[in-house]
Amino acid sequence: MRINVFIEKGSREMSVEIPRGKTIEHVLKKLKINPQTVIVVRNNRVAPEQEALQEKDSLKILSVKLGG
Amino acid sequence: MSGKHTRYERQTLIFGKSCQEKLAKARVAIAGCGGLGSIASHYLAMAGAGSIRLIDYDDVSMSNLNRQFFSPSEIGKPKAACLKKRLLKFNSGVKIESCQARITRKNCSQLIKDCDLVLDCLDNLESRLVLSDACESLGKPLVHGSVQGLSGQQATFLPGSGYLRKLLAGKTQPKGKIPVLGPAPGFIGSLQAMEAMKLITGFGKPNTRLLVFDGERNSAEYVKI
Repeated sequence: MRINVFIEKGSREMSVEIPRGKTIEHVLKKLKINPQTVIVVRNNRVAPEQEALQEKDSLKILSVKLGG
Repeated sequence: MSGKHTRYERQTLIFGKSCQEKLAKARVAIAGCGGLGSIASHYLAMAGAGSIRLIDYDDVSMSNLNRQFFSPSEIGKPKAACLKKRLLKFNSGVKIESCQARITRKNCSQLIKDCDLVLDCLDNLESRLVLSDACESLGKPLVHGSVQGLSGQQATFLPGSGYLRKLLAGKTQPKGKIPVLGPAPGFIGSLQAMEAMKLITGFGKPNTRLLVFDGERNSAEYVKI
C-alpha cells in the first residue's frame, strides 16, 4: 500500500510503498530516520511509532524542537 | 480616570474588569528566561499578571543577544535577576520574583507549587520533562513552547492530558547548539503569554492541540495530541 510522507527536515514530500499492516516505525526505518529525533503526525494527530498504518495515510515527520 | 484603569483599558474592553482582577491575583511561574521566557514575561507583566516567578540558572551571554531581551551591559549577570529589573520598569505594579536555579526533580515541585500555572520556556529535554512531570503530579496547567530555526511549537497541557510525555517521551536532545532566529521565540513566547492570560481569565479557549509553526515554509497548523 502507498502512504504520503512529508519530512520537515529538508522539506521533502514523497509517496512510500509499504506492506499492509506495517507501522510508523517501519516507515521511519525505511527512510533511515531515528525515531528519537522526530515527532510523527498521522492524519493530523500526533501518533506513536507503534501505530499501524492504512492505505492513503498521510504522515508528517517533524523534527523535535527543544530550543527556548 | 485612574492610571491603573487606563493602563489596562484596551484589554478590559476584551474581557472586562472582573478578568483584570483575576489577572491581578494570578501567580505565574516562568521556567526559562531566554528567548521564550523573556518575551512571555514582558506581556504578562504589562498585562498586570499579579505575581510572576522567573526561574533560570543561567547568566546572560553574548550569544543570547540576537533573540533575548538583554543588553551587552548585562553579560555575566543572572538572567532571572536582569529580567526582573527590566519587567519592573515596564510595570512596577506587579510582583516579580527571580530564582537563579536549575530545574531538577528535587527542587521543581517546590518552585512551582504555589503558582496557578507554569510556562515551559526551557531549552532542553530533560528539564522540560522534569517540569512537565511536576505539573502533572501537582495538577498545574503547563503552557509549553519550543523553537528551532525559524520554527516553533506551542501546546497547553491541562490536568489529565498526558502532558509533555505524550509528545516527547523517548526522544533525545539534539547534539550541539540549537539554531534560533529571534522572531521564532518572539512569536511562540507571545502565544504562551496569551495562553496564560486565557487560562487565568477563563476568556477564550486554551490551545490543547499542538501548534506547529514553520516560518521558513510559511505554514501553521494545529494537530491533535
